[in-house]
Amino acid sequence: MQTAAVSEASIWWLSQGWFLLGGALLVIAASLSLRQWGDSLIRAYRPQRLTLGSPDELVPPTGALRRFTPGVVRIFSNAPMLAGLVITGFLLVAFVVPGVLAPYGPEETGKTLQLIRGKITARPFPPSPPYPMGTDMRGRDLLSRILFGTRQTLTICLAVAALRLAIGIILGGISGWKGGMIGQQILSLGTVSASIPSLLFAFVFILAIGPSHGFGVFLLGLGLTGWAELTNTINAAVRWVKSQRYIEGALAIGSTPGHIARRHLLPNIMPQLLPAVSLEISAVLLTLGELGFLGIFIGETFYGYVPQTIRTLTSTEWAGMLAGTRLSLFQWPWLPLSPALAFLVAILGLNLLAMGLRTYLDPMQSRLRN
Amino acid sequence: MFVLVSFFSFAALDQPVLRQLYTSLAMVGTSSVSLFHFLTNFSEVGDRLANVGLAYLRSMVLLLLSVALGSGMGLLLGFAAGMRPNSPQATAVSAVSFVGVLTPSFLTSLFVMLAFVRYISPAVGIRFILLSPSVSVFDFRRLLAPAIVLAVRPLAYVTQVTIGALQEVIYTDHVRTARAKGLPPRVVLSRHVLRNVALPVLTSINSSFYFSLSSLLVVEWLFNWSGIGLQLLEAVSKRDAETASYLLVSVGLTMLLINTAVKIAMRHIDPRVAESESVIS
Repeated sequence: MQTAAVSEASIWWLSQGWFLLGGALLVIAASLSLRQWGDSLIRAYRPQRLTLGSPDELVPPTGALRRFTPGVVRIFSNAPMLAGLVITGFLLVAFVVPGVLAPYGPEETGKTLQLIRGKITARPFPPSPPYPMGTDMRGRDLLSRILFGTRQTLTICLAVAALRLAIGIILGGISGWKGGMIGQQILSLGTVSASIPSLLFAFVFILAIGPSHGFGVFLLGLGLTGWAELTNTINAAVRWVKSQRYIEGALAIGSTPGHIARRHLLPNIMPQLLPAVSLEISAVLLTLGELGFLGIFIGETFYGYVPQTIRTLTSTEWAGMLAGTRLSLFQWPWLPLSPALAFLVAILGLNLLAMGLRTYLDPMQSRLRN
Repeated sequence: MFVLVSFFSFAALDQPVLRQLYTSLAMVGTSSVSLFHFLTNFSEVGDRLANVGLAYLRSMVLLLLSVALGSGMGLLLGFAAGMRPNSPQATAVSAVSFVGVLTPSFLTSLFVMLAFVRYISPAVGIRFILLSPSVSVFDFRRLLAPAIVLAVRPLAYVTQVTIGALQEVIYTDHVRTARAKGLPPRVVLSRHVLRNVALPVLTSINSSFYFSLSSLLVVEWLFNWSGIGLQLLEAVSKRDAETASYLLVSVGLTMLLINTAVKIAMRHIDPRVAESESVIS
């Protein structure tokens, strides 16, 4: 049975597998153009009691003007926030109800031979109208598998980020509030932890214990490093809040520590905390992808005769899809590139969200240009 | 829970404290890290150390080349874009560099590999990517592709930081005064702007080293460049703890050295850094 060669470069470059990346760039461009519109919206909401020095419409709305504008309106003048919200919203939908977005089921295989772009083609099928991101060796649609895998991938990321956040809040809070000797020791512990690249640590840790133990190994391997930056951020934020007069006042009227933490500390470190959490999730995603590329992932495979005897993945996790596809690059480039693009889009979305949140939550700060 | 138990037994933390203390003291005499072991098994340890040193050398060549390439081009690009911060070209440059910082190294390396194998090698007639291990060590042709991959992130990051720093500096009073005095733009740039931009750029070069060092594992493995990353991968999968520990220590020492060098350079550029450090500690 003779089959046509499918891995022509032109097909790949022009294929529709790029629509995820293209869509992300389109969202960014659209929100950049929407910014003008958002600025005029903010001006429309300008309360009459605020009179600015000059009615110069070219000056972007900053400071007090931004502070008195409703939050929903301010999102529209914040391009990164808008783009990040769209991408993370998409991820969230895929997290909760992947079946709504996915064209096929995660384990659904079509016919063995199909007519694609006028050629009779064997599995794996290249990116083409029936399969937007191509299929794997068993003929399962990669886009559907990526969408169904969002839940598994993001669950790991959120768990690891939660562990890092817990470590960061405890250590950063103590070092920021107490300061002194303990604070210095904690910060230098963070410096030591930061000097170990988290990919190296995770790699050695997970291989030493064995990746077959599953979720827990990955949680610890990824979560025990990488908290240093978060600790430093929280430490600086807490130190800044502690030096404010309202904390002095709260202490003077005899507020309990719990009350101070809830009423004063937490709301005031939020503008630093929320973007840091978003960045942390994306950092975990990146490390997870690199581990998967090296062949370490959560999930099971079995060896079976498909066209030849090959490894088949039974879970739909992105890192697993990336694993072992290195040498398929020249023959079937969509096998490694499709999950890698999914990683890029998710990381891009989370970082844009962080960038937008930083501007959005800090009304005193002048808006970010670009 | 099971994971925790297995980790503790792996690190021998489930033993009684005195047993742990005894074992670790006994290890000092027998372990390969000790001076005694080094002197008695000189040739074996020496071989291993020579291997590690060679791998380290290969990695450092790659790392230095990529960071120098990336940060040099990033500085040029950043200055080109940062001097006209509101032009569409500058917006495009900063958008592309934003995406460039975030692109995972495996995606970049896949693209670079595809480009080299499909387009560049046939056009030039040189095989830049050789995946068989039996090739001579310092082959410049094999160095090019991984160096480009590792340079992407420093390039994007340094560009971003330079644009950001320039946006703050070019609107400051002393630069405005220098311009108002009628100094030529070249002098304003070199004497009044460059020194103020140098500090954040130097910090960004420091973190570029960190980026590159952490993605060394993936890139060396993909391009079959037998440096620290690839050796570590092999050592860990062969359970060769000695070689792995030598390699990890060399990575840590390198980070420490680079950090220190950057700190010293920062003190020379900006005396305020030295002052603020002496006030804190």
